[in-house]
Amino acid sequence: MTNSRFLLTREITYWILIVSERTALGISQQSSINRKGQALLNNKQYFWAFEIYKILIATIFFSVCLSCSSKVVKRELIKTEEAETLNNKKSTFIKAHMLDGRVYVLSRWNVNSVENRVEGSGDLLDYNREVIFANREVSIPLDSVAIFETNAVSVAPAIAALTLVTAASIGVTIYCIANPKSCFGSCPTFYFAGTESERPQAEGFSSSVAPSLEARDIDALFEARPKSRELSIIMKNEALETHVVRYVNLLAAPRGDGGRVFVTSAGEFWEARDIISPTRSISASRDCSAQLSHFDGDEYYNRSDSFDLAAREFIDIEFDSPRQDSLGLIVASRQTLISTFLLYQTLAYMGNSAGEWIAALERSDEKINGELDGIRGALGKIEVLIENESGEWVYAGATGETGPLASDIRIVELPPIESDIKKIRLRLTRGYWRLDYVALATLEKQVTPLRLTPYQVYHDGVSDSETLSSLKDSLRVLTTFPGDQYEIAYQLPEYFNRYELFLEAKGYYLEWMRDEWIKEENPALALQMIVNPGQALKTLAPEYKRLEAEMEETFWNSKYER
Amino acid sequence: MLALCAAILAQIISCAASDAPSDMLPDPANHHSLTYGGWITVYRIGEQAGAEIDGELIAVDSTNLYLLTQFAEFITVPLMDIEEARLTAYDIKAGQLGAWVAVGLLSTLTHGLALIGSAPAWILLGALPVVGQSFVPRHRYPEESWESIRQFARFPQGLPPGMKLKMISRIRETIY
Repeated sequence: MTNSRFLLTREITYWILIVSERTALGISQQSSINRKGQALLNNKQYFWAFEIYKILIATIFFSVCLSCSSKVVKRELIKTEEAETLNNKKSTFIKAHMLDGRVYVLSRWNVNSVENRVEGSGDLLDYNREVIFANREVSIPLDSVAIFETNAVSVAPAIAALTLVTAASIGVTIYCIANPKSCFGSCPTFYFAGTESERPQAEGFSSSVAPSLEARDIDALFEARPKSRELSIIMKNEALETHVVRYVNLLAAPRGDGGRVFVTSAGEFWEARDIISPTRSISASRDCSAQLSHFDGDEYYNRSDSFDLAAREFIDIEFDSPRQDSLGLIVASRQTLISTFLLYQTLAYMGNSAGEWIAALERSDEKINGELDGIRGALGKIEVLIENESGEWVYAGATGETGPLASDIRIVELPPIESDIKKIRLRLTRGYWRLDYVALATLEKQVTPLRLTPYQVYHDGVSDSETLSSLKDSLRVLTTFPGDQYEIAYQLPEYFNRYELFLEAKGYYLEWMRDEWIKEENPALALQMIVNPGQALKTLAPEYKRLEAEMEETFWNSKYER
Repeated sequence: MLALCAAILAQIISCAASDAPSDMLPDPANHHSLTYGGWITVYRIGEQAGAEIDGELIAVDSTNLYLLTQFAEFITVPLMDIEEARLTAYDIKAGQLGAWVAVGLLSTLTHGLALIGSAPAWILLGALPVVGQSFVPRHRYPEESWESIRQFARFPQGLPPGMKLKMISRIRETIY
C-alpha cells in the first residue's frame, strides 16, 4: 500500500471511529479521537481528499435516492365533445378510451376538429392492457372514443423538501468547494427570449430573502427593442434557491419622440429628453469617462478597501449644460459580489440557527427586522451630491438597487443648478458598486405606465395554463426550483415603439443552506453582523480581499443548469 | 438511538403507504401501468370487520362497482350496499421515500454537533412531507363521489358494452 493510500485509509478509519464514538458516548467535540480527526482535517494535505470522499459518498447516496423518486399524477376526464381542449392541456400523455375497451396511450396528439379525428403517436393496448402495437402514428375517429383522459405526471412535492435537505449534504461543484461564498446566488433572472446573451436584463426582488421581505421590484428593460406587439421574457431559477413568484408584469410607459422614460427609486416614472453624457468623470484612482459615457457593459468599479468594506470613494462628474429648471441624473449600476458574499457569510455564521432567524423575521420581530438593515445601511447607496454656489457639496438624492446580476437604470431628480458647468459628485462604497452609465437629462413630465399581464406561459416548450393562472392571480404564487425556466409572453400596446418597457415582479426567495457554510457557524460573529455592522465590515475585509479577484469568474461559472 | 429512531420513522412512513399488494398498484413512471385501475377496498353495509373486498377497480356505473381481485375473481358490488370504499390510485413509493429519510437521518451522524440541527431538519423537512405525500393518491368514498373515483378505474367510461366479465384479466408479467 502506498503512503498516500495508507494515509487516506487512516483518515477514513479515524472518521469511522469518530462516528462510532459519538454514537456510543453521545455528541461531544471534546473527545480524544475527535481531536485527532480534527488535526487531520486541519492538515490541508488531507482536506481535499476528505472533501472529495465526502462528495463521492453523498453522490452515490443521492443517486440511489434519485432512482426511487416519487411521482404524483394529476388526472382529468375529457368528454369527446370537448376534445378540442386537449390541444391546450398540459399533460405528460393522454389516453383515448375506446368504446370497445381498448385504449390508446398518446405521447403526442392533435385534435383535428374539421375531420373529427385525433392524430398523434403512441401505443394501443387491449381491454386486458396487453400491448397491440407501440410507438406508431395513429389517426383516431372521435366517434369511436368513449372518453379522453389526461395525465400530468410530475415529481412529488415531498421530493423537493427532501432534495432541499439532501442538497445541504452534497457538495455543489468543485468551484463552490473552493470558494463556498462565491457560489451563484440570485433571485429570478430575466432574459429576452430569442437572444443568446448570457447576461440577464433584470433580476427580481433581490433583497427579498425571506417571506416577510416579499417586495415589488421594478427594473428598466432599457435595451428592449421589440419588433412586434409580442414580447417574450425568459424567467430562470439559476441558483440553489427556491423562488416564490407572485407576479411578473410588464409596465409600458408612454414616451414622446426622442424621449425616454426612467423610474426613480420611489417608483415615479419621468419622461426625459436632451440626454447628455459627462464631459469629465474622475475618481480618486483614475479617469472613468470612457466607462460612464455609454450603457454598454463597460463598467467602472474599484477594488474594495483592504481594511474596511464600508470605506467610501468619490467620483466627480461634470456636464456642460445650460441652466434647466428640471434635471435628472441617470445612473446605471449594479452591485459587486460584496453583497452576495455578506449575505452568504451571514447565513454561514448563523449556521443551523439560520431557520430561527428567518422564523423571527416571519413573526414580525421588529427589532430583528430593524437590525438586519444595519449592514445595508453601513454600505449605503450611491449618493448624489451637487456643488452649490458656495462650492459646498449638497446631498441631492441616492440610487442603487440590490443585486449583482443586471445593471439597473434609475433617475435621481436634481434641484436647479445655476451654473452652466454642472458639477456632480457620486459618493459610494468602494468596491461595492459597478457603474455602467451616467448622464444628465431634462425632465419633461411624470407619466403613468400601462400594466401588461402575461397572456401565455410556456414551461419546457409546452403551454402552461396553470402557471399563467397563477401569475395573473395575486393571491397565488408560482414556486420555482433550481433549473426551472419559464417563457412569459406579453402583448404590447399598439404603436409599441412609443413605449418604454419595465419589468414589474413581486415575490421572495429562499437560499438553500450549503453544507460548507454550516461548518462556519459562529453565533458571536452572526450577532456582530447585526448589532455592529461597521465592525463586522472591518473584520471581514481581509477575507473578502482574499476572494475578490477570482470571485466573478467563480460566481458566473457556478450557475445551476439542468 | 438515532438508528432506532430512523428505523421507526421509516416504518411509520411505510405504514402511511397503501396496503395494496405492491405489484398491483399502477406505477406513474410506466405509462402502460397507468392503464390499469387503482386498488380499491370496499366495505359493505353491515359487514363484519375483515370481510371487506379489495381488488383492481375495473369500472363504476350508475348502479354497480366492478372489481377484479388479486386471485382473478371478478366481483360486482351494488353501490347502494357500499358503506365505505378506499382507493389508492397509484404507487407513490412511500416506502422508498421512507428509506431515503431514514438513511438521511442516519447520515447526520457524520455532522457532529450540527446533528442537533440537521437531524430535526430531516424529520421536519423530510419525514413530515413524505407522510403527507403518501396520502395524495388516496381517495375515499363517501368523502369523494363515485364520479371522482371512477376516473381511476381501468374503464373510466364504464364497462364497455357487450364485454363479457370473464374475459377481463390482468397481465401482470407485462408490467415489470
